[in-house]
Amino acid sequence: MKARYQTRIELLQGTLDLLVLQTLQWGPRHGYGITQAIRANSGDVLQVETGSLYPALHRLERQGLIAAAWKTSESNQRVREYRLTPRGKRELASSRSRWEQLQAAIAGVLNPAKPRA
Amino acid sequence: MRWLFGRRDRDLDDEIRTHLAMAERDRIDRGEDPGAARAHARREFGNILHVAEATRADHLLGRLSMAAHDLGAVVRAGLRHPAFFLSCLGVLTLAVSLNLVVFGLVNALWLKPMPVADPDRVVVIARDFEASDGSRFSESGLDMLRRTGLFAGVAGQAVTSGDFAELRPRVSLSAIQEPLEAAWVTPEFFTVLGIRLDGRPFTRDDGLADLPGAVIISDRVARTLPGDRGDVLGLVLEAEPIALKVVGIAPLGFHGARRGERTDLWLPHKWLPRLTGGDRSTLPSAILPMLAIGRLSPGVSVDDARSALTQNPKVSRAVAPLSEVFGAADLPMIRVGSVDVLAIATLIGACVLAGGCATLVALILVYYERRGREFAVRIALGATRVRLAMQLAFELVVLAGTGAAAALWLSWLVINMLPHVRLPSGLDLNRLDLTPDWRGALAAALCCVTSLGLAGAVLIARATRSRIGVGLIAPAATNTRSSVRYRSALIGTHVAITGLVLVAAALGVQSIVRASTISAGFETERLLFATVQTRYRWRPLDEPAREARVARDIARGLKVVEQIRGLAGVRAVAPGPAPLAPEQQLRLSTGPRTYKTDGGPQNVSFAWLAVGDGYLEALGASLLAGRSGRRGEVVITAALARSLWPGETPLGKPLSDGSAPMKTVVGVVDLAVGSVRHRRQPAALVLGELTVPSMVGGSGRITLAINAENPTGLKPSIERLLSSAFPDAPLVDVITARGLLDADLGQERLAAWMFTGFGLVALILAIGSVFTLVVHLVESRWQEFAVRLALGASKGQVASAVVWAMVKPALLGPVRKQVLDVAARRGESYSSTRHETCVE
Repeated sequence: MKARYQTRIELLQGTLDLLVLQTLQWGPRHGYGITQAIRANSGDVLQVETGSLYPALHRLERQGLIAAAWKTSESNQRVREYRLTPRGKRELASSRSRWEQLQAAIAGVLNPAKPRA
Repeated sequence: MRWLFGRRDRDLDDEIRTHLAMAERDRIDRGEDPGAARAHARREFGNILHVAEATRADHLLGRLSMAAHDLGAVVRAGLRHPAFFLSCLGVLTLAVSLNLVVFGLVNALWLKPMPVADPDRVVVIARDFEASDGSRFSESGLDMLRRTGLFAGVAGQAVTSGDFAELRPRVSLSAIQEPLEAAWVTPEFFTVLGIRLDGRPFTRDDGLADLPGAVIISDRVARTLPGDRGDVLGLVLEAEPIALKVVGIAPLGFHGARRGERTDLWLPHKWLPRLTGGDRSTLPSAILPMLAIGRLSPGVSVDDARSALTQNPKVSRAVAPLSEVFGAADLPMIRVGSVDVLAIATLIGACVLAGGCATLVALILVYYERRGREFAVRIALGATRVRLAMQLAFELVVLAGTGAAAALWLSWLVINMLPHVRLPSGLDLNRLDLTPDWRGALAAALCCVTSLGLAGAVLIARATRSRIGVGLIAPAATNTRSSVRYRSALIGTHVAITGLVLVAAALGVQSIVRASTISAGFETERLLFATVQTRYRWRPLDEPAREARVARDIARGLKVVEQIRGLAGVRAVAPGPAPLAPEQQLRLSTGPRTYKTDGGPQNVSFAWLAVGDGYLEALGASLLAGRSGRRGEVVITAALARSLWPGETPLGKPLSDGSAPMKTVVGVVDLAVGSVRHRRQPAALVLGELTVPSMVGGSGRITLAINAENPTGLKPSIERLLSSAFPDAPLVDVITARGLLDADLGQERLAAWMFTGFGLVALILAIGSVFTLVVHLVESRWQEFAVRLALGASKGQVASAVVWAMVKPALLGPVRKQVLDVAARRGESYSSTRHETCVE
């Protein structure tokens, strides 16, 4: 049980911040909206735990990568909306680049090019 | 704190609430039943408390916020369980402050560094530290010490206490209004102590030069004078009776050689005749009584010096490190260094602290066991064990902090009150530097944290998830085998510790009781001793004036004796000193002298006391053999009889002190001479040698033994009579025999008070702890007792089971006590040795 929990944390470490920043790239969202967007865009594969999401949101806000403000939603509900800051945009670009490099590297290992005869 | 973090917390709570509401609405929009939608949304979200805590814990303000929450929880818990928190605080405060006060005293008396260079190498040389003026040496005596080769330097400071109060310099500076303390010292004084002065120490010429006289002033006096230290040096101060020129300034913190001194001015001893107002031509400084201070030569230890000097009875008997000597210009010198008392006080203090720890562990154990169900619920709601442990630790830290603060406050209060208390040993605490230092605060904090850390560690180790979980189904007071064993061990240990401390306290009380019932050989409840110094001994008068003065004082003395005899309740008055007095002790301690008997000269140490007619009758002394004697006859103590004529009757034997003609021993008396703290000491009382004319014509001191019905009630009347008869007398003193005994046994009583205080505190702690645990123990088995009753057990059987449950753990204590008693043996043997000497 403990090992499984640790594996999940390790998987989310770093990637959750990237996912949140990428989600906010498309426009300001509240916490629930972010989980729904990640879930929908991942085809229901990625389900963000609230126990990880909110600490991550507050950490990113403290780092100045996102900003939060209280707004009134369309359903006339008071919600806390997060948006990407310019610094967050730069961090997103950098993180994406690193992620793509990593993805390419892992893909290269998993699908090695066949040596030419 | 809540106002500071409240907005952030509220925002987070609102955010979570919004999240849940949106998830719920989404599900309803997707066609779920509202009830099911809410439940699913909740389940999907997870533990709200956990999410909120994880979010808060992720940033500093959040951590502070949680600390504020925890603090609030502690305060609320304190309000819900005031008895527990107040008991814990009381125990901490009592145990720690008691130790801090003892530490403060020990620190001031023994541990604070002396403000002299290499203090371990500086010693005070005395004939006898138990005699108030026992340290006196003449200048030639100091020279003799210098010639022994044991000392790199020997300095002297004039004795100005007790019989020599008239030698005290009475100097006032016009620039300083408050009274100043001054001391006569030899030129080597500052060199021997290794004090670095601004300016210079005294030289041999300082005492011989013309006015103004040289003076070395303290840092305190220098600061009150105008200008900086450089300006003050060389300044001629307007002073009474002579002008003084500042040649040196002592460094900050130096107030004199001994602990207890508050000297502001040091004067060359050669000036003494001028400043005491006597005729300087008739008072050579060479005969001044001096306290000898020596710096040991390289390679010579204190023990070496002590053993070497013991071989030379003409010089001295006692050598003590400077740090162990207490004294002041107006106080007798006391040797306060006693490793035994220090070790016992420290041991008992540690025991009381350990008892306090055990009490705390007991209280905390019971308290948290009672909160078991609350912890179980919190675990069930998702709180982690670490979080619970942290909160528990936080509660204990708050408790420790508050306890340490309260202990520091209480000890500060007591230490500030101590200078107003005159201890029975004659130790004036006002003279000690009792200012607390950082070590005291550190000790308080460490004691509190250690006590609570110990208690908390045991609890946290026991608080496993499964054990806490049992709290949901079990009664609040759990009764597992391990917890019962743990509580029993705690009670047993506490009973053992308390037993140990109470043994020490009982020994203290026993010494008080023995001291109050001890037989000094005279009627302690019916006697007063009066002393009048009719004139200054150190201000000799010209012969015609002296004769007139003596004749006048003899007439006054005879008259006042008759007046005292005429007072209601007075049964007898006889000339003679108090048998228990430092002077007698000094006579006994000056080493063996040659006494003549029929068997030829003998070297025996005993006191040779001249007393008046009817002295033994006035004392109510009990004769063991012979009669009380007449003028020119001698009555000796039983100890002297055994020493000089073992196995023979001393009656009719001749005895002389070596100079006087032979006198005949006519009686043997059981009388304590010098001090009851020692074994009965050998002494000879020469009857009829002391009369009012002989006393006035000799030293000018009249001493009377007065037997009366109500000594305490008569004391003021006798003081009044003596003061009106001799209005210009430098000394008038009347003391009851009970007061004399109290002063004589002062050191024992000081220790007794201290041990009794420790014992009382230990008892209070033990009662608190054992009561709490026993009640909890019995309560935790309440269900079992109810089942027994339901199964048909009689009330008597259940009652006996209850009593056994209460007594059993306490009975384990004495078994453990046997082990701990070994540690007390030393203290017991120390105390019993003292008692033995008292009752001998």
